[in-house]
Amino acid sequence: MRDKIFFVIFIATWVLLVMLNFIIKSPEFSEQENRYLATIPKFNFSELVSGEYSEKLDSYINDHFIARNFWLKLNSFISLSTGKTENNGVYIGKDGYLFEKFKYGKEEKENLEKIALAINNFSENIDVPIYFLLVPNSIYINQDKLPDYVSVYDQNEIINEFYSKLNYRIEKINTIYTLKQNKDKNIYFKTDHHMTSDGAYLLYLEFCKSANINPVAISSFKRELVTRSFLGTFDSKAQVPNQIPDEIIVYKNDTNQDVKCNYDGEKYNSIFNEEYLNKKDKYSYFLNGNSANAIIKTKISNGKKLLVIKDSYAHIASQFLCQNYEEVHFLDTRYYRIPISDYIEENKITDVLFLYNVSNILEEVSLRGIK
Amino acid sequence: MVFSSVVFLYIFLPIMLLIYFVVPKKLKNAVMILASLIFFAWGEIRYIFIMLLLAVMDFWCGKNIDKFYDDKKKKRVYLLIDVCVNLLILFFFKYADFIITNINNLTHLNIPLLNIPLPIGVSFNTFQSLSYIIDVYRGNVKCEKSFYNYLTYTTLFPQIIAGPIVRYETVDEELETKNISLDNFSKGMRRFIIGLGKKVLIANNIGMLWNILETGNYSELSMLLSWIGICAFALQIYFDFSGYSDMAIGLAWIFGMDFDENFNYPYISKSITEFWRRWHMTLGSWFRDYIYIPLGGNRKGLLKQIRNILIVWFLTGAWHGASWNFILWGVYFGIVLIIEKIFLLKILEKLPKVFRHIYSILLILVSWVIFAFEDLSKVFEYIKVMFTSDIIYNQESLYYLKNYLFIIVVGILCSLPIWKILKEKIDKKENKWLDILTSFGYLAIFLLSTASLVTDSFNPFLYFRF
Repeated sequence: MRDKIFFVIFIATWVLLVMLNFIIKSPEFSEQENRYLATIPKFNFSELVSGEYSEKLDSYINDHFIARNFWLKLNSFISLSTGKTENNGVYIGKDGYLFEKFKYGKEEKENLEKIALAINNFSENIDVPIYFLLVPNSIYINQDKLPDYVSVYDQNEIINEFYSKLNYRIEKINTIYTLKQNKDKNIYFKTDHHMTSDGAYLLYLEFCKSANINPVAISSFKRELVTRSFLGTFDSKAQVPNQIPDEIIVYKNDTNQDVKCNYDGEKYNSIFNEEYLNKKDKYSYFLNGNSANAIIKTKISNGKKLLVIKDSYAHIASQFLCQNYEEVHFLDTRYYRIPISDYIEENKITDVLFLYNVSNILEEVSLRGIK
Repeated sequence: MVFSSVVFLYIFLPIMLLIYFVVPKKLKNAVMILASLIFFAWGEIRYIFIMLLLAVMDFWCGKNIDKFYDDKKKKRVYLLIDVCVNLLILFFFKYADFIITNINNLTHLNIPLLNIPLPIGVSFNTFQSLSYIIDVYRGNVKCEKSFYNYLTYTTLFPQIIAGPIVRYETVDEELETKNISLDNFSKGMRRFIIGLGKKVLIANNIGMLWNILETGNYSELSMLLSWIGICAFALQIYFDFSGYSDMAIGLAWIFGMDFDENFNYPYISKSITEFWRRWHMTLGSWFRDYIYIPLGGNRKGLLKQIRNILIVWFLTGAWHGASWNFILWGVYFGIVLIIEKIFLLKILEKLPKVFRHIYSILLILVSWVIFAFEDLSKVFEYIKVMFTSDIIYNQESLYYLKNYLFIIVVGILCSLPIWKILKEKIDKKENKWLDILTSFGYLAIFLLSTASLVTDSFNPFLYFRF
């Protein structure tokens, strides 16, 4: 009797799952994980022999398993209910804060040294002011929100060490003090690795101080809440059940709303792209996500042109950086491979700003080849 | 392919079972062979041809031994051919580079390495072939008359990758007629699910902690962390390995066959002698029957017995991987066993049970340190931290303790026979609702394991060195 009962219960479930897997088609892109799912691998004899083919097939099958999102949530739910305070490399902090684990080892240290060297060489051929803004990450600024017993590497030390290797031509901007002072004002997203607009404004203020610019006061902007349902990259990795989403707030004024943008040739009339607010990747609302070369032309005519060599932390800062310039150019060295010194001459750039965040620059290899 | 994968659980196994149960009796072995070849080819296609050739040779030698059973000389020639070729294959794939490296180190020669990847399962495969041919030679089993059946035996996928070592005599009758029934299916499936849960839910989750220590992904090793770490490894390897055996045994039941048990709650042992009667039992009995006893066992005086024990444990160590740490690990156990045999067991028997358990667990944990690090200097460093570190604990160790305490406690509870006792009690009761409840319990383990596998959680394969 026992065997029959088990047989019926088990077989019914098993057969159902097996059949559904064969019948139901799954999407190509996973919104929840924010990535393209594996595609059916093309057959290749040498890959079959090396075992690579079956590995690819395995990940295809896993990626397209029926109700994948449900299993993801179930798995992280189980894992977190056993008392774990991390999942898939992401710490589940207090008050809804998520943090990606931060690693600073030998490789990262070496990479940073090489980058400093490359940037020093680069600066020799540039005769406009150069600013460097290396921004600490949420895990450092909000370390009181980390789970118990987690300690984090002192990013201030990393930033200072890096700055000490840069030559005198480069103006270094350290934002740690300001950020720490304002850390309770939601300057970082809880579910994403980026800063919020409020955080970006602080960067802008610090930059203005160094560059001797009069910053536009925060009170003169129109503060607008554009979405309440932003679940960022940390959440995609950790798949926390019942995670409270972030809000995205923007600061609009006449200057940043009346612009002409050119993203690798694609033209827009705004730095804000509403389309992305209905998608998973809501951060791409700013500056249309990643492009090799983005240019913002404002209505200002003061002859000043800023070049920002950056990672995606600059995207949200663009709403402020465009306030005092005729043109702001953004270059991403991962995709933009032409000598930047030529770019500066051709476009009559008057100021150069490097804007990177610590955990990203540690892994950024393309900066080592900057020219 | 491995059992703990979506492709096995949701594509390979259901299709294979459907065909297996539908086809007439005579074709069941054919389905089995085909399935085994596909299973094996999934990631290890190169070795298939060698495996097939070995099967032909084993079968041919077995037949000839049978044919010349009364001609001692001829019979021995066929035995030697088969044994030598099998050992040569094992040696070539597994130990050639190890020996070359050592020769290079000793003589400063520069013999190039062969760099042949070790085929998964080669150790299990050759040991099974050897048991067959030796048993036929000894007259313990009749030689297999049908190559079809022999091929089924030698390719049998449930045990091909991580054991148990199934001797021909265990399954010889079932190669001909299988005991297929709904009851056996249910029984087997439940056993399989238990094994799957052990591997996916316990071993993989605990293994994540060991993985951090193994890869050196921590800032400072404190005494506390070193102990949590090695406990994690001990639990990981037990649940991984015994989980695999459970899955293999369960599958065999589903197919209407019966394998030998491989683990019997090893961590409740009160001595190392007992531990090895409970750990990887099919390997222990293999070495006993085919090496230790033929060498004379304990019948030729204490000195010879000590020699025999050392030989067996040197080989046991080497069987687990071609590296000095495995050999040291084997010899370590050999020495402990000799000491226990000479006098320690008698002393232990007089001590309270608690001490005997602590003694055994301590020695076992130290053995896992040797097993876990290929680099012997790391082994000694780690043991030093375990016993002499000044840093008793630090923030980091508390973090890992907090994160892994639950799963470690679950692991410890599950390595005690309480579940077995509980299960026996339930089995005696005739209660429909209880049956429904337990069925859903098994289903839950199956689905939770699925969740872990679908999401590509940490799922290491530990037997690539075997």
